Amino acid sequence: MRMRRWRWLTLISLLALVAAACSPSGSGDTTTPVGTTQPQTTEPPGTDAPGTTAPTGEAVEVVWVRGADHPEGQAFIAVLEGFTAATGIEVNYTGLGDDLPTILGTRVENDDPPDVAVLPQPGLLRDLVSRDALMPVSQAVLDGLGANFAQVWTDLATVDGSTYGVYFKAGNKSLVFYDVAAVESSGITLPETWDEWVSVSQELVDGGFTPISVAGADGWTLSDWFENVYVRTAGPELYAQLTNHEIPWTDPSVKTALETMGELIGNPDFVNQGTAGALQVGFVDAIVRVFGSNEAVMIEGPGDIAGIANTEVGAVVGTDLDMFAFPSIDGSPGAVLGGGDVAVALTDNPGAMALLEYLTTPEAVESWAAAGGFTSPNQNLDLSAYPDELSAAVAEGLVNAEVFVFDLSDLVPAALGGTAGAGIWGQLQNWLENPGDVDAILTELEAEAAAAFGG
Amino acid sequence: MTMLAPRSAPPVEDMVEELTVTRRLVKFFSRGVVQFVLIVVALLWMMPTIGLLVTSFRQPELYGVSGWWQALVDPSQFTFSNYSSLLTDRNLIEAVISTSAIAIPSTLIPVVLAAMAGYALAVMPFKGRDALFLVVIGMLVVPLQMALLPAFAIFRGLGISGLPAIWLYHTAFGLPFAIFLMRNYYAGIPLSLIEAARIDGAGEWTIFRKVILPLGFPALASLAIFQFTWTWNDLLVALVFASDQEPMTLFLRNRLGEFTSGIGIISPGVFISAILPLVIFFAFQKYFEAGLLGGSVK
Amino acid sequence: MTSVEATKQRGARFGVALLFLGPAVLVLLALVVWPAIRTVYDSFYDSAGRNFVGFQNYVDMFRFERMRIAIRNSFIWVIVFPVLVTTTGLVLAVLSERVRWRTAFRLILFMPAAIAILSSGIIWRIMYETDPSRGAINALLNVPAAIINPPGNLQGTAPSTDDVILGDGGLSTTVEIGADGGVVRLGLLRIRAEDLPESTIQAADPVAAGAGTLSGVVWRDIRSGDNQRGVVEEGELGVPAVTVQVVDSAGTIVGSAGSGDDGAFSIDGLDPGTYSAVVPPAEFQGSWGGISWLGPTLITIAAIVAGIWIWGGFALLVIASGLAALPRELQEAARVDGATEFQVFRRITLPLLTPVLGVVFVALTINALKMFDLIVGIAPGSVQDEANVIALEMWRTAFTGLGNRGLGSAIAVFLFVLILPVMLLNIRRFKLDEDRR
Repeated sequence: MRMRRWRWLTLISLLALVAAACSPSGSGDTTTPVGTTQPQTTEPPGTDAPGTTAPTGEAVEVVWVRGADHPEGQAFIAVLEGFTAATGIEVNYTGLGDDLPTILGTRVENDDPPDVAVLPQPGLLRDLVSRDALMPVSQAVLDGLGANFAQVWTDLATVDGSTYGVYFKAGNKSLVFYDVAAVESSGITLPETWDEWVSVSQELVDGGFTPISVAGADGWTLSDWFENVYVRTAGPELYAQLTNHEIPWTDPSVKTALETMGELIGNPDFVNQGTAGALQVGFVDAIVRVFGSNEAVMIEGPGDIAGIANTEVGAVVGTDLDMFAFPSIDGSPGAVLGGGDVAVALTDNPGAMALLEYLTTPEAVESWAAAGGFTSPNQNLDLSAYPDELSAAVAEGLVNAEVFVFDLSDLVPAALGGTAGAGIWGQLQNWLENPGDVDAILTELEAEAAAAFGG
Repeated sequence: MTMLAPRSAPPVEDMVEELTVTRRLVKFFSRGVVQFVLIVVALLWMMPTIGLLVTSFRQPELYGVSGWWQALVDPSQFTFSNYSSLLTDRNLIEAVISTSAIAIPSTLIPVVLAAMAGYALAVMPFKGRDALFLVVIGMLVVPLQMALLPAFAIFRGLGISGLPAIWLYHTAFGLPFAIFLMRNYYAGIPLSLIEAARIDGAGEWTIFRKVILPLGFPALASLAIFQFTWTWNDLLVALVFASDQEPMTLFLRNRLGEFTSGIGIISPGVFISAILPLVIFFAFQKYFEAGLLGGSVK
Repeated sequence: MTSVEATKQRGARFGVALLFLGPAVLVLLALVVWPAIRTVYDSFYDSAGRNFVGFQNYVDMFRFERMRIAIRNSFIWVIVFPVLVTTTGLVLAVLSERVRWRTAFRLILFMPAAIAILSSGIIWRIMYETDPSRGAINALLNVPAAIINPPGNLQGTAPSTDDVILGDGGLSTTVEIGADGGVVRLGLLRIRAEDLPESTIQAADPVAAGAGTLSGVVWRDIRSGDNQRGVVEEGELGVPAVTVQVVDSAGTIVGSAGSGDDGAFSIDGLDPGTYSAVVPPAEFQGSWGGISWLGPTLITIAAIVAGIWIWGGFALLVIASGLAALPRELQEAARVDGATEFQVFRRITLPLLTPVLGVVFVALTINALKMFDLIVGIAPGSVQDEANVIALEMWRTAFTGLGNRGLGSAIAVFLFVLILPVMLLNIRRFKLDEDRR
C-alpha cells in the first residue's frame, strides 16, 4: 500500500512538472524579445511576450548562432536594441546554435522563415539564393554598403548580379599568436617570411620548445592554414578559381601549397603532440596548450584566440600573449584571409530591410566593438572603438589588407567546406595524419569537390 | 513440469544440510572469486562516471593540465563554483523543465497505447492479427531518421508544432518496441483469468482496466522506464522539432560550441540531467524485480 | 453456436480489437509508414526535393570513401555489439545472482543508461585522452610501463653534432686517448634551459688534462643569437648529473663519471687507444605517449567499448529479471541429481532464458543500427570519417548545411534495405517461438 502511494505521488509530481513546462511563465522558449531586461527568463507571466506567439505587426524575428545567454549573443542583442531605439521597430532574437543551417533549411522549406538571419557561412547564402529564399537588398542598403565597406564585401554577398546581405561582422584569420615568455626565453626573432618561420621553428625545437600548436581535431583550423598558404603561393586569382572550382584540386598549385605547408606543420617535430597526435587536439585545447600548459609556442588562427586565451587561462594581451601577421611566402604581398557573418532578409517585412540598412552604419556595431572579441569590416568604424591595441591592430589589418580573400571553405558548398570530418576539412586531416600522401588526398578531394559542385 | 516442482522442493533443503565439507569449501571459494570479479566490474563501471563527477567539482582550467584523479590526492583542486554558477543559471532550470515536458508525455502516451494494442494483439482473435504483429516487428528497425523530414511536413499541415510534435514523434517511434514487449507479456497471461472475467459479464474495456492493466503493471513500469530514459536523453528529435524548447541535451550540446571548452558547465550539467531518470528508476525499480519479461518466460 | 452468431461475435470482436488497436495503428501509419514511403519517393529527387533524378542519389552514395567506411563500421557494430553486450549482461546477471548485494551491483551497472548518450560520449572522451597524465585509461596502462622503464632525464633530447650518435645503445661517440689524454664534447639540443636544474652554470670547454684522462662536457649546445654547433660558446649551459661511460673496443666499461653543474666530467686511468664515450640509454628513455584510442585506427573499438558500458546494464537488468522469473525448482532438482553449476546453466537456465536473450538481442541490434549520437559525442571531428556509421552518414548528409534531402533519403533507404535481413530473421524467430508455445 505504501508503495502504491509512492507511485501516485511520483506520477502527480511529474504531471505537475509537465504542467509547469506548458504554462507560459515557465516556457522554455529561447526567443528573446529584445528590449526587455536580461536574462530573457525574467519576463513576468501575462506580459505581451511576442516571442511566445506568432510574430505580429512590424516585429522582426532575427536568428543567429549564439544563444541569448552567450556573451556574443548578448553583444548582438545590444546591437538590436540600438536598432529598436533608433527606429522603434521591435525585434525578437533567437540563438539557434550550430544547427542554424538545418533549422533554417527546414523552416524555409515549410514557408515559415524568420525575417532576418545572420549566416555564419556565406556558402549558406548561395544555397538559400538557389532555393529562392532571400530578398535582394534595397537601394538604401546598397548605398550604405558602398559608403562604408570595401567592394569585396558587397561582391561576397552578390549572386548573379543581385546583392542579398550585409557582412557586418568579420574575422581576420591571418594571425599568429605566440607565448611572449617562451619567445623571450628562447631568444628567437619573430619571422617575417615563411623561410624565417621555418628556421625559427627549427631553432625553437633545438632549444627544447615545440614551435606550433595545431588544432587538428577542428578541420577548419587546417583549412585556414591551407588557405593562408595557398593565397600566398598561388596568388588571389588562382585562389578565386579554386574557390569556384574552375581549376581542380589536383592542380599543381594546390600540391605546391600543400608541400609548402608541409615544411612547417607537416613536420612532426614542429607540431605539438606530433602531426598525427594533433588530430586529437581541439581548437580551445590547442590554445590552452600554448598559453596554459606551455607545450607549444605559437598558434595560427582568428583574432578570437586572444579572448579565449584570456578566459581560459587568464593570458593577458601584451605581457603573456602577442601576435604577428601570417608571414609572406617568396615575397607575396600582405594577404589577409577573412571570414564573416552576413545578415540576410528572408521575408518582405519592411523591418527586415531596415535592420540590414542599420547594420551598414558604423554606429550600429560600436557597442559590440567596445565589448571585445569583435572585428568590423566597416571602414568608417573608428579604430578607437576597440577596447585594446591588439584588437584594433587585428581590425586594421583586415580593413587595410593589400590582398583580401574570403575563407574558401566558407564559400564552397557546405558538403565540401563545412562538414566535420568530410570534404576539405576531412581531407586536410587525412593529410596531417600522413603529410607525405599529397596526391592520393588531392584525388579524393577532387572527387568530393566534383560531386559538391555538380550536385 | 511445474506440477512436480513443489514436491521436489523439500528434499533439496535436506540435501543442502548434507553437503560435504569439500563442496562447501569449493562453494565458499568460488563465491569469493565471484565477489571479487563483481567488485572489480562494479569499480570499472563506476570509473568513467566518477571521473566526470570529479571533473565537475574540479577547477575547469586544470582539465587541460592534468588528469581528474589528481584532485583525489590534492583536494585543493575541488571547487563548488561550477555547480553554483550553473544552478543559478535560469536557462538550466528551464532546460530541466523543458526536458520533463518532453519526456513525460512522450512516455505515458506510447505506454498506454502499447498496453491497449499489445493486449488486442495477444488475446483477441481476429483476422490478420499475426500479420499485423509482424508489421509491427518490422517497424522495430525503421530508423528514426528515416521519417524526420516528411513528418515535419505532416505536422505543419496539421498545424502541430513544438511539444505536441515531439510527443507524437516519440510516441510513433517508441510504439513498435512497446507493442512488441506488451504483446509478448500479455501472451504469457493465463487466458483463464480473462475468460473468468468474461463469464462474469465484464466488457472488454472493463477487463482491460480491471484485469489486464494491473496484471501488466510490472511490464508497463519497466517499459515506462526505458521509454523515459530514451526520450529524456534524446538529441535528434529535439534537434529537429524543439523549435521553442531547449531540453538538456540541446543545452549541453549548444555549450559544446567551438569557442568554449565548457568542461566547467558540461560536466555538472551531465549530472544534473541524469538525476531525474535515476530517481524514476529507483522509484520503480521494484517492478523490475517482478520482471520486465516475466510473461514471456512463463 | 450457429454460424450467424459466430460471425456476429467475430464482427464484434473485430470492432473491439479495432478500438484497442486504432490509436496505435493510426500513429504508426501517419508517422512511421507514410513518412517512410515518402522518404523512398524523396530519394529519387535532388537535394531540394524539386527535380526527379532517378537513381542518381543511389550512385552518388558510393562515390565516397566515407560512405564505404560507414558501411564497414555499421557491419562491425551489428555483428560485434549485440553479441558482446548480451554476453556481458548474461554473465553478470548469472554471477550477480550469487551475491547479496546484487541489487546494488545491478543499479551501478544500469546507471550509465540514465545518462544521455551524447554525455556518455563526452565522459569517454575524458577517459580516452591519449596523454597518460590526462586520460585515465592510458594512465592505468602507464603504471607498469613507468615502473619497468622509468623515463630518463634526457628524454626527447638530440645530439647537436653528426659525430655523436643517438641510438638503441644510448648516446655515443668515438674518443681517442693520446699521450696527453683526450677530450670529448657531447652537445645536446631539444632541451629547455628552464628544464635544467637551477644550479646549472655556463658550460666549461674541456681541455686535455694529461695522460690517461678523458676530459669532457655534456652541454646544451644552443644559446640566444648566433650558434655554432659542437663549440662551447658563451651563454651555453652545462647539463649536470649525466652519467658518461667509457667503453673499450671489447664493449667493457672501463670508467665512468657524472657531469657537474658546468657539464664537465673527467675519467682517469685510461690506456691510450680508441674508446667510445657513452651515455646509457636509460637516460633517454622516453615517457610512454599513450595509446591513441580516439585515433583513426581504434575509434570504432573505443566507441563499442563505450557502447558496452552504456547498454551493458540494460542487458543485465532485463536478463536478471528473466532469471528471477525462472522456476527455481528445476535448477534445484538438477543440482540434487548431481549436475554441476555449469551443466545447470547450460542445460536448464540458458534454454529457458532464450526468449529474454532474444528480446535483448533485438533491442541491441536496433541500437547498433541506429547508432549515431554516441559517435557524435565520442569521435573528435578529425576521426568522424573513420568512426562513421550509416545512420550518422545519413544524418550528416541530410542535416549538414541546408541538407541534401534526396541523397539523405537514399542513404536512409539503403540503411533500411540492409536492415531487412535482420528484420526477417527476427520475424522468423518469432514465428518459431510461437509454434513452440
